[in-house]
Amino acid sequence: MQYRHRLSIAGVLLIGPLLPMSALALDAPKERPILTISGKISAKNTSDTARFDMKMLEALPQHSLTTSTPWFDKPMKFTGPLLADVLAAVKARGTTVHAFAINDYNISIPITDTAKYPIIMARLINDKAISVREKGPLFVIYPFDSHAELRTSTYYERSIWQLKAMEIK
Amino acid sequence: MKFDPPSLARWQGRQWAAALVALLLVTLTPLLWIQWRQYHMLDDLAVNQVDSLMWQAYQLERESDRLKQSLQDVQASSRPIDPWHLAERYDVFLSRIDLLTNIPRRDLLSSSPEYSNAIGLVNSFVAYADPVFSRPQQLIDNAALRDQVIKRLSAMDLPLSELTRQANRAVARFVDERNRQLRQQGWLVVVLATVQILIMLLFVGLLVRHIRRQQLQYAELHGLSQALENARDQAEAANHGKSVFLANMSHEVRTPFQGLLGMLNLLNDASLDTQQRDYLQTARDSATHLLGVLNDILDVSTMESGTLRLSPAPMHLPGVVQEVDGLMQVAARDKGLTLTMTAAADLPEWVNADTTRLRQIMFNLISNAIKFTETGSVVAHLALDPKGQSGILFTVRDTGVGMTAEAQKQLFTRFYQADDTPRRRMGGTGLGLEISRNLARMMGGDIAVQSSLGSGSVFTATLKLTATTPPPTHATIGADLGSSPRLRILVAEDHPINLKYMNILLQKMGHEATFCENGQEALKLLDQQAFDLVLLDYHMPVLDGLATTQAIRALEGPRSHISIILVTADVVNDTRKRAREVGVNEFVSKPLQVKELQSAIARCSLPDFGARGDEVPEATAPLASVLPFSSYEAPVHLPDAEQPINALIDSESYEEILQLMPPDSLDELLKTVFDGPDGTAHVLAQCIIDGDRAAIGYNAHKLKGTAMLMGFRSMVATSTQIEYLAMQTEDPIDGELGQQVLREAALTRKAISRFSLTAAE
Repeated sequence: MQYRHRLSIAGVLLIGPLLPMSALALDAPKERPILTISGKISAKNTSDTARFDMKMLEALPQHSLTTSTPWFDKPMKFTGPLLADVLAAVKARGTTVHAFAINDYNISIPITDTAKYPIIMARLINDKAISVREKGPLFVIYPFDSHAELRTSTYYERSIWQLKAMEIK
Repeated sequence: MKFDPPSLARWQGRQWAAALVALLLVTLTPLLWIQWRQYHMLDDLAVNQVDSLMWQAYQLERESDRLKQSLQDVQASSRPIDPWHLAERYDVFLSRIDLLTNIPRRDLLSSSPEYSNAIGLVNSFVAYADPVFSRPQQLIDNAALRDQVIKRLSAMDLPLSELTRQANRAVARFVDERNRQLRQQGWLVVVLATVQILIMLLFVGLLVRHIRRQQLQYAELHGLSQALENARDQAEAANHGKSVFLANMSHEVRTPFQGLLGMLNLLNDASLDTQQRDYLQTARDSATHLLGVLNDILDVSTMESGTLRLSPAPMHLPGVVQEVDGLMQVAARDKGLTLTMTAAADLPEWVNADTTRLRQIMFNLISNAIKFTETGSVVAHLALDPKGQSGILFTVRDTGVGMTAEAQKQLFTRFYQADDTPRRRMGGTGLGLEISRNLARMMGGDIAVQSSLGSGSVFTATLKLTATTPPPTHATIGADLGSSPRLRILVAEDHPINLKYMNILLQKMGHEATFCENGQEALKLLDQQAFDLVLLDYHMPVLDGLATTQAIRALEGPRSHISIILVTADVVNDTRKRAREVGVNEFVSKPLQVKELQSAIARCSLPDFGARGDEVPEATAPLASVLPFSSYEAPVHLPDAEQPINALIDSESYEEILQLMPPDSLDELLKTVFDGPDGTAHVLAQCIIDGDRAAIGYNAHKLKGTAMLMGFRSMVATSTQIEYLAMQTEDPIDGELGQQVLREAALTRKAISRFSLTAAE
């Protein structure tokens, strides 16, 4: 691990000047970053992470879905980029996303889930930005209503809210 | 529960199906409803995870602690604190409140005082803290403000942990309630399933009952049809039995009737005055008519019992036509009619046909035509059937009374004369036409009629008769015989008395007889000597009449064609038929009569016997052929009821014996019957006492033969009965029968002495 770490630094130092855009493909966040992605990713905007502010997430293609959840007493409309698109933006290569919430909650999400379901990384609920006190700023949501097999604790657990960081493994 | 079985029994498949569907709907619908309820319960549970309620309460308590900790860390930590970190902690704490107050199943908790207390405290804290945390830097800088916030947070510790416990209790109660519901539904499922099973069983029971009932009905119907079949079979058997009985009876009646006719014929030869002759003629006509009626009944009966068989043989067609013409001309002349009988030139000379039956059809049609024609003519014509290849057309045309179309329809119906038509007034049995048509049908043809009232009738019989070659003649044997009328006759007869009698008879007839005891010896003699004729007894030891005939016919050379006459007491038609089949030429009945033997020999048509043969049958010919007789028995003489002696002895037979036999031979013969202990009567009585069935049968047969020859009527009857019992049945033979034989022997002997006296007188 240490060896690899050193090698990657060496890579940045050596190859960086030749291919200035290859490792730092992602623009740097202009506002306060709200999401940090680390691990097996190719597109970064710091030395070893990719950091996103809300504008950057808003720039990705937006999707909406309305579904009922255990956390709201009625179906809500969730809007935001697809988790798959976010992972594509950082050129993630691993098999698992290890997600962390502000309240220290963390869970592993298999990347295969993103191929099977349109998982949304919601930044709006009912078209309004989500504050931290309303389980914001980011809320990973599965399409529970349209897929009965998702209505189990496994997938409810993966629906992480107050999301702040992800590590790709 | 009351079901009406008969109406249920009438249920069809569709009704059963409807009942079954209704039953399934009634029992399955609640089950489906319960399943649907449970599915939704589980689904609801998945969406609205109740246990998260407890979790959220706990998290709220914990985030409160963490917020407090963060504030305390500011004081303790030497490092600079990020004010945004504090704000974020506060927001996380707030998000927990939000969760607890907006969670789907918060209703489980919201009614409790702990909840309102805790939420009230939290809300007042939020109202206080919101402006404070909007400037977090202030909290880092101002220790007093921090302490105040910490203090207020600590005040919430107890109520929040109380809320967590309350949430825990609420969830537990919810789980209890859900379990109770599930148990209830489980019970309902069990009850419904039980009801369903019970109703199913009831239906199965009803179905089984229904099927049983149907099976029972089927069995009843089957039994009924069986009974009907049995009844039909019995009726058919009874009808058949009746026909057989009728055939037997008319046969029985016919036999004495021929005797009566014979007597009347003999009387005709006697010297009578005109009136007596007239009476006699009337009696003869009546008897002849009656015999015709009997013959018809016999024919119909045999046809109905299915025992009538045709016995086709090569037949000389022109000969038959000539014969019929000759006999019918007399009848036509008597009525003053002209009868013209013609035969087409292209007819085959020999055809395969049952002569007797063909003659019967011709007689019937022509005599009918004569009967119903007062003036004019009857024209009978025989020609080839233009339609058939082997058919012969026999047409009888008359100028008689004719018939209406209705009468024609009923013409072939039995006893048609029972109604009051001209036919009835003219007499006739009414069976003749039916018999003729049946015979014609048996010959593969039919009889049709065309007629109109007042202008005569045309009867047409179509018959399928195939042309054939003439039968072999006895020309070669005849050549060997020369011209001598004296015939060399071989006689096979095991009965000594019959042997003796036959010897006398044949000597008187002027023939030369050679005797032997059985068929085997006869075959040996045939091998050694030349004979013109063979007389075979039907019942013989070693080789019987039929077997001997077969053996003779199987010989090589001209010997196999020798004429054979079978001597039999058996009157059954079947025997004669079988005998004909194996090659017997003629029959004579026991006891032998001179005339009968003579005519039988004549019928064998030995070429050189012609001169005598023509004379002999003359006497019996009118009787034998005027009526269309079948091949029946020769007459048996009836006893005279006025003379008691004749109950024991047939006077005519005995007189014949007396004339034929020298007195010493007769005495010797009588001794073999009557004298003890070796006389047949005594031997038979002894055998009956001994109970030796074979010996009883043999001796009874022997006694019967002798008694028949001598005309001992009662002894014939008794010995016949004993023979029948011994040979045909398993019944025990009563010792009384032996005594009866002896009694009758004594009586007969006595009667003979009286008879001799009477005869002498």
